[in-house]
Amino acid sequence: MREVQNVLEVKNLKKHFPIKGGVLKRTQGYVKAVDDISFAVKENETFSLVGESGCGKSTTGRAILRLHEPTEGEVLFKGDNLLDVGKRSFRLMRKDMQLIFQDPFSSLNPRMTVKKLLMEPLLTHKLATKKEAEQKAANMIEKVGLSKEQLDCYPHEFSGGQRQRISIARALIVNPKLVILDEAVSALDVSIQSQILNLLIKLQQEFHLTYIFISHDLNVVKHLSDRVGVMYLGQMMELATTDKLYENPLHPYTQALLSAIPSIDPKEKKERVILQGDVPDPSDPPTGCPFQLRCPMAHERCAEEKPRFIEKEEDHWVACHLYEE
Amino acid sequence: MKPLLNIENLSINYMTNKKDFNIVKDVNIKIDERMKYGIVGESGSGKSLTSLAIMNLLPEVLKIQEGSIELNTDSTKDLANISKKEMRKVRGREISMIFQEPMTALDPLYTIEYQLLEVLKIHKTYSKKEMYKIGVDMLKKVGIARPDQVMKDYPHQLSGGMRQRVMIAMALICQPKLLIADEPTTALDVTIQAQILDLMNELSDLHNTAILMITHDLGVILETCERVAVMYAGQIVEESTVEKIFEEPAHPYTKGLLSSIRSLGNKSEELYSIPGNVPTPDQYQELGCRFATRCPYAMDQCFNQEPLMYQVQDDHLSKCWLHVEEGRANERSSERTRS
Amino acid sequence: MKVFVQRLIDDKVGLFGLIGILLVVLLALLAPLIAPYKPDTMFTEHVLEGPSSQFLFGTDEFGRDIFSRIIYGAQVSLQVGLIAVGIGAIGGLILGLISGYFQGKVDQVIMRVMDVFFAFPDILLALTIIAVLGPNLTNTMIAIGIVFMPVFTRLVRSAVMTVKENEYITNAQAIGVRPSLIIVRHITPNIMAPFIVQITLALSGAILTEAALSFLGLGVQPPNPSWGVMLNDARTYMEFAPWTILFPAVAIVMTIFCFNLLGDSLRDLLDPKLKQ
Repeated sequence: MREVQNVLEVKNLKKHFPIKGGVLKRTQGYVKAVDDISFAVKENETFSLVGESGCGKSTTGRAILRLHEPTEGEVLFKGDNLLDVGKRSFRLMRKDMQLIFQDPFSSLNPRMTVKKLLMEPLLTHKLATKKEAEQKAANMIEKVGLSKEQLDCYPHEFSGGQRQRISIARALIVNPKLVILDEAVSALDVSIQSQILNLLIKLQQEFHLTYIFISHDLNVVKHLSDRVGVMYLGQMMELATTDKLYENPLHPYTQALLSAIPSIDPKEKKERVILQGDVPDPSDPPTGCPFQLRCPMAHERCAEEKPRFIEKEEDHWVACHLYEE
Repeated sequence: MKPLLNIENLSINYMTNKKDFNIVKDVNIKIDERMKYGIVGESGSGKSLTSLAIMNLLPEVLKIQEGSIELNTDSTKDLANISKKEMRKVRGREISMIFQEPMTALDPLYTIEYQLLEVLKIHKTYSKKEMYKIGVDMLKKVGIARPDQVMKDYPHQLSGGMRQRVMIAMALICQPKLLIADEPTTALDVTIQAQILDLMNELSDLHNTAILMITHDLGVILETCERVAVMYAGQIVEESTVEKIFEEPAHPYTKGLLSSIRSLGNKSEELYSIPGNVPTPDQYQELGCRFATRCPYAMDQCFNQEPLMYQVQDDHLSKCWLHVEEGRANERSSERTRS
Repeated sequence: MKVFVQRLIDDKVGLFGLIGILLVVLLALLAPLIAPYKPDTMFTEHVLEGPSSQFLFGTDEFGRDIFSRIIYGAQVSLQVGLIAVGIGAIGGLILGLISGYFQGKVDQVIMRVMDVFFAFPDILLALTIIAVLGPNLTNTMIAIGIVFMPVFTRLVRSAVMTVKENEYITNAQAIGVRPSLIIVRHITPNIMAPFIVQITLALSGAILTEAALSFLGLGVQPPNPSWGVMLNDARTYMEFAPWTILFPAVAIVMTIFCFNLLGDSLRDLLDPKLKQ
């Protein structure tokens, strides 16, 4: 059945944040930031999670890395459940899974030189002696398009795009298998963004990396991904190969999301689906389908019953009553 | 007829007693009544400073060095040389502004009613009842379903999209002639962005308000504007109608921007990208073109002499040496073979 | 660092403070060379004499040279200041780091204890501690240190919580860096700016508190010279021998003034937002 091995399998992952209130800080309820999602990421592919702010895509990324301890579920990394591993030994496994952040201004310690920043992951995992680490840092910085002379500079001497290159170098220097990119190019200017995307693609091929790309930018996701999962209010609404998702979106939410992207071709006048209302409060989600309050196709059943996540056609999963027999 | 807003040769300098360097240079913009005008540029291009200069809200260290900002409403005023008192009358009533951050642009301590009607109180004389009615009507117009309830709410009780709607209501309540929108949808999700842009278009038609849209997103420009100025490193490099800019971009920077966005759709291809980094003001060349270091077509001349603004076709300006007669012909043919 | 020194030199006010402090430090270190007499030498025929060429600042009720006593007093004042603030700052740093980084129950406990300390006026708290430990120089320093600890703890804790919001901390966690190393390597260097400023301000506070305690007879014990002790001694004679109280008072005021000037200018200099 499997031709390509799954690097990562996420099964029924849940992350609920308690809402505390009152003088005694008692738990008054839960924000279900990630509510029962499952997906698998194949070796050497780019799997993207898209959705609007608050849909749980970033929390999913952080829950996989246990930066937020998941409430429930399984995260299988090459067959081992990461959530069963003790904290201390998990720290050692972290070298195989790296995270790159959105904000190139706050993701690097301002008091460390680039050289120190690049050497730290190597020395933390004792992957190299100091000398070797220095050599590796020098190699890596050239791989991401900066020069050796810049090793002694501090982060504030670089522009946003250059800092993102440093973050990438720092993540890749330990030879990870999986890299989670959390809105990694969202803060960059258009002209810089494409440089970084090209770099990411080049490095993926060179180092045989598997990417989980988390983004709200559907254009960027389309360019980069092999498969895409669409999230809404902590749940997976649709999951398909990139071509299938963009050419034949099944879920009404995906359809609306795609039609909301401003066009850049003056000749293309597309029919817009403008959604009404806002994303509901995640601490008080609607019953049934999470999207039913804004869905143009909603019917009675949507309010009563949560749709199952089914494989409508090959490699194309969707959670919507319209497609349930 | 005179344009509603006429910015001529606007230059802004960063000035402290130690440093003095140019940031925005020679900006010329004409906005007619009811026109939807866009300024597009990356961070640091000076697009926001231009809008702040119009509102007379430049931070202390930034000074208008040269130029005029003429506003023609009932009377003609030069906003680059205007008393604070006069300017207060302009703000909110003749020109109003909405900002990027709907989270911080409203005061958390006051109700929506208080903040919405505050603008009216300053500029118009209505009875309390009339004001309330105008406020509720305005909220209805910006698509808020239960205006009476929202009037009593505090900002934190509203979502990001709702707050941006309230901001728009505040901006339009005095029926200004010009609405400046500085990245009004950047902090919002795509589905909400679509709602807000739609709403702004609709309301500007309804109230005959001209819009100056400041954004980094070419898609937003195409959705909303008729004309657009492309800014790079503090200067306008190209200016024309939206159709011309998108269909026949003339300046290498505009071309690069459009190519990099367009190639996003094409998965197999390597993304087109403009090499190098956006220069910071202290890196601006004294002479020559500010884009020259990143420009694939740069010639010697580009490093020595600042390019002139050329009229490349009717109603289409571009600031590049390539447009000197011969260079322009070459440029066209190479463009054709590539596409 | 070079840039920093340059900027401190450019900042006239801060430089003035720094020079003043260096002067006091120099006086204290070179006391035996500079002071014309030993601090406890009594010139019994020159009791309560006004300033003269022989006794620059006059003499006190035992005929001791006030100039020499002030110079030796600087030793005590600086020693108390540095050690007491050292105790307070290091204690506060450790507690604040723990409190701010781990939060939760540990934080609750530490901060509630600090709140209790905060509830007392400084002098009263110091007096209570000395009353328990017994009055001598070491205990004075410990007491002042403890009094200053809550301020440092709170400052460090809030700075840690701000720094923790930065993604480079999450980044370090994601790389697999141990919590103890994250604190040492990534958090501590980034909270140093407000911490150093607080140290300079606390130094002046400590010197003042020591003077006050000595004045009350609970700090340095006579005949050891300390500016506070000198004020205490001079109190009875100040009406007809004002120099006995004037000079130690000026010494205290000037030293504290210099520390405050330096602190204020460091606050500006170390603000990363103003750094460019």
